[in-house]
Amino acid sequence: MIAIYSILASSLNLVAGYTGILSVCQASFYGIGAYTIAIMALKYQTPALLNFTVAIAFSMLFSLVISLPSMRIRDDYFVITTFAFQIIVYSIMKNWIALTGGPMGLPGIPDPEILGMQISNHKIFLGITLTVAVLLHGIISRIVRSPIGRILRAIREDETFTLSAGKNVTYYKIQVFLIASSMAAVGGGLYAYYFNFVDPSSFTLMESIFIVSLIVIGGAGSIRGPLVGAILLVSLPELLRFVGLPSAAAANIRQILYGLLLVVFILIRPQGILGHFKFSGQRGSE
Amino acid sequence: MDYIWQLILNGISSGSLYFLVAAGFSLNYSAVRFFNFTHGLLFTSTAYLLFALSQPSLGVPPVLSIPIAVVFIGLSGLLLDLAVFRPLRKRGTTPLILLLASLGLYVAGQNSISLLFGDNTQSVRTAIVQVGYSMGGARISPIQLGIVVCAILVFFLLSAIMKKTRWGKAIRATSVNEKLAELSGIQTNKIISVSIFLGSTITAIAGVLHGYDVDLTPTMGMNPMMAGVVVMIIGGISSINGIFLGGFFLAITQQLGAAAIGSEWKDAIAFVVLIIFLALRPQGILGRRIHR
Repeated sequence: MIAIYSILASSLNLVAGYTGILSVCQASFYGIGAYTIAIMALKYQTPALLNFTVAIAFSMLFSLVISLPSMRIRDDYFVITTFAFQIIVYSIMKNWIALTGGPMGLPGIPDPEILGMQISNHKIFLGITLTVAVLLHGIISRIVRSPIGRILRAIREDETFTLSAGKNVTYYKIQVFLIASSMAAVGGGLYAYYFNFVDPSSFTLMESIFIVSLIVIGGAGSIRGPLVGAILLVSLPELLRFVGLPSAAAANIRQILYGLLLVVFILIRPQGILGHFKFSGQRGSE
Repeated sequence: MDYIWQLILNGISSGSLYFLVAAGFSLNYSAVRFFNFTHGLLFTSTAYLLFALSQPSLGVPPVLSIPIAVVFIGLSGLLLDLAVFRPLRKRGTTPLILLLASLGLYVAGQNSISLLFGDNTQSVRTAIVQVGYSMGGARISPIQLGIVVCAILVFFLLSAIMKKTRWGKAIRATSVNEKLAELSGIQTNKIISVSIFLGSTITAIAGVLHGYDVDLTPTMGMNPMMAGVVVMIIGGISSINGIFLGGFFLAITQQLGAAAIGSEWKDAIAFVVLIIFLALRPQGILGRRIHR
């Protein structure tokens, strides 16, 4: 799970940490990926690699749907748009029962078939997941270090200036969104195959907020930040279990901790544990 | 035809609630310029506070407990701003992060309510469930009628305050341009505090009414708050008239849409409407400023 969340967090980092666009709909791409893979595996029994490709394609399609018309919208209104998108997608997952099984989800997803082999051993799959995670991180790292990365950071610091320097800001924003959503979809596929089950409750708005807190707490705008965030926040509930809280209260207490941690970090250390980006500072020309 | 009329009546009742929530939200937003999601928390907390006060062990009658709860929550809204958001704003934090912080607070708060009161539905209703008045062939319950009446009252009151009194003009001036208002001699900090208190109080009233209408669950604040944000945006952020119209527009659209494709899509409908407005007419129905 840590690996999957690190993928989600780092891809969001690309959009939010490096380019400065906050998006609260990562979980929806995560979910789209998961559900696409689930449906394809269940209905068509297609091999895993094909499923992943389709899932990525779908995810990118959806991210275009949301990013194209919204590029003219100002930053904080854009967040509301991503909010809206997340809820709409969640609604679809929950209500379009014929396609997605509604609140009951889709159980019994068969194990992934790669190159004709069925992978049923969880340990092997863990290895695959880690490899994928490392791979994706590598891609993100290359992007960040390249000239494109510099442009992204320029967009984050001052969008108008970047525009006047002749860079097509919209193009880069859309690109980064596409990349982030496709990676989230991969995460979703891994999730679907690992748990053999998908349902809407793993892809809610709260989930998106959780992913955002991963990078806020772990550190936005840095490569290792989201990793730290993922490791920390995903292990927290396991640690809590050792403390021995009653299980009914545990879920609530966990959420309370996440919420408070988020606020505390924003107040005290907005760049997160390892981050560079403070998410604050003057906007525009002051 | 009767069916449509019932839908419209439902829409009027929902729209009134939306207006109340949106008006509260707009007062807050116009003052602090970020989407403060703790409003949903205030909404829910008021209802639960009312519930706690009306417990047999405390036995506070509604005549007392309602004003107490509303004022308390109104002050809490202000307190939250002073403690958390104002210091952040002084640092120049972007609205996005303020939004995030408010979300964090909302998550923490909502789960605290779950911890304290349980996730099950609680009720503040004392009377037996009535069938409701009949109005031209459709039904509307007494409390729903109350919500509509309240909304109309608040609408006229707010409009009057905003247009005629000095406070109102100061609030409007501050929301348009804080620095300029300050230069004109307005004590912007005080005015902002007043706006926040007013906004929180109206939201609190909405919370009480909604609680009487549909009972309490810890998550009851989320949907009305989202609807409130949508209504505020499509109505034109600072325009009370726009928000009033927007509230009914959204509610009736939702009702008709729900009748057409099923009521589980109500949330999605609201947000599709939002996206359409943001893309095509970001200033809302009656808004003045165009945001790029």
